[in-house]
Amino acid sequence: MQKSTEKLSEKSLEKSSEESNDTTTLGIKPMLYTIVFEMKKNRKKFYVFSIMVILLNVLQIVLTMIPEFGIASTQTGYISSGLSFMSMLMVFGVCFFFGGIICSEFSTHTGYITFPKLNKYKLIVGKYIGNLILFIGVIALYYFIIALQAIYFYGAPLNIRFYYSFFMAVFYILAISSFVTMISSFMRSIPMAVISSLLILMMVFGIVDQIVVMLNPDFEPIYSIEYMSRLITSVLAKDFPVGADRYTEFNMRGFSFRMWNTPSIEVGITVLLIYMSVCFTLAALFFKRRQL
Amino acid sequence: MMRKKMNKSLIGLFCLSIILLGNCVSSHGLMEISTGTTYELKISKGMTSLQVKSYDETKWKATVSSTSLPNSSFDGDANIVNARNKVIINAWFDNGTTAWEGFTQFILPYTTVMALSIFGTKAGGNLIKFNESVVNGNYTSQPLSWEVTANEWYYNNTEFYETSNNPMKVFPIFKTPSNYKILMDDYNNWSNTMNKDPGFAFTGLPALPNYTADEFLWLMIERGMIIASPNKQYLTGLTSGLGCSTNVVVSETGLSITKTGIASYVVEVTFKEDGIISSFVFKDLSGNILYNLELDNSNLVIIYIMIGVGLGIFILPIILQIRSKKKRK
Repeated sequence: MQKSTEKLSEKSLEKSSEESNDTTTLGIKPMLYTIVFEMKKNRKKFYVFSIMVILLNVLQIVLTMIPEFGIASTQTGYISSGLSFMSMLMVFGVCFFFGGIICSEFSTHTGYITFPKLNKYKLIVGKYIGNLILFIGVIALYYFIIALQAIYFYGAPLNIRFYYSFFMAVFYILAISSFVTMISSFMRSIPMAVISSLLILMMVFGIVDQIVVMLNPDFEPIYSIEYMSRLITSVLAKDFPVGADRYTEFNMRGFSFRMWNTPSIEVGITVLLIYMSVCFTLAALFFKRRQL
Repeated sequence: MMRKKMNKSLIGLFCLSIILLGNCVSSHGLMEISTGTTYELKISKGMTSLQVKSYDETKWKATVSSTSLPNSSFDGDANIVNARNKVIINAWFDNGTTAWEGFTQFILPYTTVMALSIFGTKAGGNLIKFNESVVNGNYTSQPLSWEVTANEWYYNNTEFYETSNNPMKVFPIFKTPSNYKILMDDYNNWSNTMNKDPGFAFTGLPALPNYTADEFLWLMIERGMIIASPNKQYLTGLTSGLGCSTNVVVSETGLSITKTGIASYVVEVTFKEDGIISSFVFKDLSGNILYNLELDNSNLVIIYIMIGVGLGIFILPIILQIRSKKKRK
């Protein structure tokens, strides 16, 4: 009798120590599993976008094969022209990868399932990180192929501003993915979230920018996340435009128009950080309200 | 089953795209243009770089010249071993080359063109008539050519600057190689006329040089000549068209030119299949190498390494995944 109670107490001690170990790893391991699961689940999107990236680059190479189609005189000039499709690809990719982060849990009614060992917020964070890794992989592939071309045509080493451009691209992805996650937090279905995000990022910001600039040419559209995407290519310039070089003025029939070419680096990074913090906060709040 | 087929076809499409990309990027046979004549231009856009492999200054000064060192022929630090130049071919245009283009973009140095241009303007006192309409009006030949535009970085033993030393390098490649004689004769005629012009004497500029056939050929080589394919036939047509002396010999790989400085020496110029110069070797008559420039292929090695690493990073996980799926089954 005494031996059986001793065994029971030993077992209960082991169980309580296991549970205490589980509580310390609760934050990390389940999130890691979520990240890996999300990456596996969305691997086909990764393949499709990777193929799109390769085809875009092949198209650029085919264009350079035309004799009269001159290539840029510097390596950074070539990289800049190669990144011309980058912002559009990013917007499409982010909308497809991140559009269903939160709203998929509600459209498939899985958001109400209680997980014994995983906090719902950590589930969403894990899904976000998984998709982020995949999409940054797509962008890294794009940059890698551009780097190959730049080294082939202009010789090694790569200009350091190539890496600045990649850093800006990742920063921009973080900002627009936070925006799309916020949209996803209050949309009912994945298609609605994707389409709304696409429309806002590709069209609404552009139209609003044009209206604002027409009404007040001196006003720089620093509120616009689309305007911040110009930094990805403008950081490649040998002398980053400052002051009046950041815009081009047109005069037509007495009206003066100003086309803003790029924000300054400091303002760009600040605005993107603000977008990230506001959008993530709003996404968390909306998600919480939907839980209640 | 369907899913397996779809996965296989996706992977196949991905690999095919990589292979197509690899073929497109490979330098050999990237672009061929059929001309309708017997010659083809086989160059491709991108970088070529020559490196100074060896330089024996003592023997050079004893054989070639004690005052004119290699950097007299090759711009920059061409006297320094391991110095490299860089030429990036941007584009080429199917055109005719006018006399003005031939004189200003190919034969005359940039500084001479600028000086002549200034003296031909009101600000320069209108001392000479040096402008496009006057030159093309007097020399109307416009032989058909491919005009290659390039950026050139001069020989340098440190890292290259971002912007080139010569962003407007132009090299005309005549579709009929004997037409180089037309350009040479027009230039010699014009330079003789200009040297006799009283206005030119007032400019204080040195007399414009005249070129013999061998000298004109050497000028083309110094400018980094590009030839059309087939190489040997083109070089034969070029040298016989110009009227080069027996000092110039065409071989399977390029040209061999016997020159005389302090003593006689031989310059061997070899060309790649695409018509770009791959090496210069200056030798004395005993066969000792005085100066050697060779093609620098280190860029290609870096590209192959990057492609290998890239394929490893992106394709290996796919292969591992397929294998793990098969194992599970």
